[in-house]
Amino acid sequence: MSNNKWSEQKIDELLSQVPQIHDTRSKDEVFKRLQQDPRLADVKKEKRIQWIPPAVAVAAMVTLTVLVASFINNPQQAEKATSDMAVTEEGSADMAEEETFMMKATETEESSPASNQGINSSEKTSTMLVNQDSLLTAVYPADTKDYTVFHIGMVSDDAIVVPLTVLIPNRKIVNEFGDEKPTSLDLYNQYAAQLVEPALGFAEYHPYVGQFSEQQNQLIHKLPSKHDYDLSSATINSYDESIMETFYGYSQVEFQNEDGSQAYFDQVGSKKPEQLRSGNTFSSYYLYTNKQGKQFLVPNLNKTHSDIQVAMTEMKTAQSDYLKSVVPEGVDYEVRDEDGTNHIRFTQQLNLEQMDPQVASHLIEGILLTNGSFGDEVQFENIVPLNWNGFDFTKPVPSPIGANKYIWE
Amino acid sequence: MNDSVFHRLYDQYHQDVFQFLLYMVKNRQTAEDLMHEVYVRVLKAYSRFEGKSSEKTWLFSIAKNVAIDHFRKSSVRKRHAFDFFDWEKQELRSNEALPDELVEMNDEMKQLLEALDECTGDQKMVIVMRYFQDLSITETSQVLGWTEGKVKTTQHRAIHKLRDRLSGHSDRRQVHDEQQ
Repeated sequence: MSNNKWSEQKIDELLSQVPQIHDTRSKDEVFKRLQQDPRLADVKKEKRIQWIPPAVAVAAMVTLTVLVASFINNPQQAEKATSDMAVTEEGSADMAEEETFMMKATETEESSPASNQGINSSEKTSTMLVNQDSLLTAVYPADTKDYTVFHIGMVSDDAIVVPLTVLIPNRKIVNEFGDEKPTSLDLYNQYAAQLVEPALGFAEYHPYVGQFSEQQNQLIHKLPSKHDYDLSSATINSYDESIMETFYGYSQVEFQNEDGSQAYFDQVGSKKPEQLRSGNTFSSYYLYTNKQGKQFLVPNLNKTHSDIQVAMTEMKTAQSDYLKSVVPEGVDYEVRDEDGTNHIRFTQQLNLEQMDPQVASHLIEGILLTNGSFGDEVQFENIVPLNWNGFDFTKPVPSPIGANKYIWE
Repeated sequence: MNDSVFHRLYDQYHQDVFQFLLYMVKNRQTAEDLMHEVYVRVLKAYSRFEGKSSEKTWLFSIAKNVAIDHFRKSSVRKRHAFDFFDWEKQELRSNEALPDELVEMNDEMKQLLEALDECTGDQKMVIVMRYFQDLSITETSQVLGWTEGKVKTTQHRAIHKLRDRLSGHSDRRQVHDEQQ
């Protein structure tokens, strides 16, 4: 074939003539498949009632009874209690309702003498996760005094994997594990099933079906013959990413059938082992808002980077409808590596006190988490005030231990 | 699931989005699976669609993300687990069985589509959107979240690359690209 045959004009014309290709399935066929997809099943109130552990529902009733009794006996105190509850209302009314419900359930259980005795059977239904009342949402080294860190990758209704960093009091850990330091698998086996995921704004996903085991530095997931993880590329993605965000301290995870042979996933074939990274995912962080209006900082694990400069540049742009940039319009920065520390210099002086506090904290923590995913500290430059929300910007800020802090109470 | 939304979206956009996916992955079964994923994501997020872009570009942007996700997973399978995957710089090539329509194409068209697989992901995406789907520069920029200038530049480079590949100058161009 002659080289001259392919002119740009010819290519242009040919590209415009590619045949139209149609989906030969009927509309009904496409629709029926969608109707069978559990992810599109309506989440109705009655479904929520199913997953709320009975003891928690009882606790809520007790709380309500106490509240009504207080109102009758001491209207002023009851009024204060009601206004305290109102303070927790953020985001949608639905979410506020759920969070208040959870907090109250915890308070009631805490007031019960049994809850202080470390009895597993009662704690299983009484323990709850709560947000700390702070703008900052990541976990920093100083936060972990007296706590053990439990990482877990939750899956949202939008199939976004959100890493949670749960702080579990060491006294509880000692009660349950003795002096032995639990592995991330131990923590998962102990606590994952106790999480009330929908109340936290996530899909019911954990615990994984099948069994996990450890073999030296490697994790093995033995899967039953029937599971939903390979239903589609999206469900495989959620599965892989949630495992990545959950199991720290292992080099890789291997997937096996119950007989020990390599697992086979529809669409993928033999499911090859995945490398685990214990948080060093080399990815940029973005702001994700779930359907209840609750916001989380999440890494885009679909796009990893070999270079922090690229990751920091990438952060400036939204990655999808779900993953929005934490960098507000008009804010820009340059990145340079100096003696092993990443220096982030804002092009124009950044005055955090003149920004919306939530926006400012998302920006700072998004930057810290992105750099943290490379294992790097950050030295901020051209930023005021130099002391803000506990951060000392005159020196490098250590990497967060994880995103989206919750405390197990 | 909002049935009426599905019916409307299907009537207006189904064949366009399906064709986009099919030209991206070149396999009918895979395109059907990805189309299903697009609907799942769209129907779950529809209530939050803010109308900042048109419904059409919103659908295509979701389809683009679903396609990238598919290639990322394929990349993970083919290479080391959780290797770096940058869809803009890597090829989005599918090795699955071709649909009949592509098998029956004339030789020139086949060569052209094969050369398209050798383009980087951003180039292939732009060509499929601009030529196969008839999206405007503005629409393409909205789908990809780029500036219009970047769409034009990428399209220009893609045509150059296709010409070089098809003219047998691929080796020289490859060296040049790698040096950039």
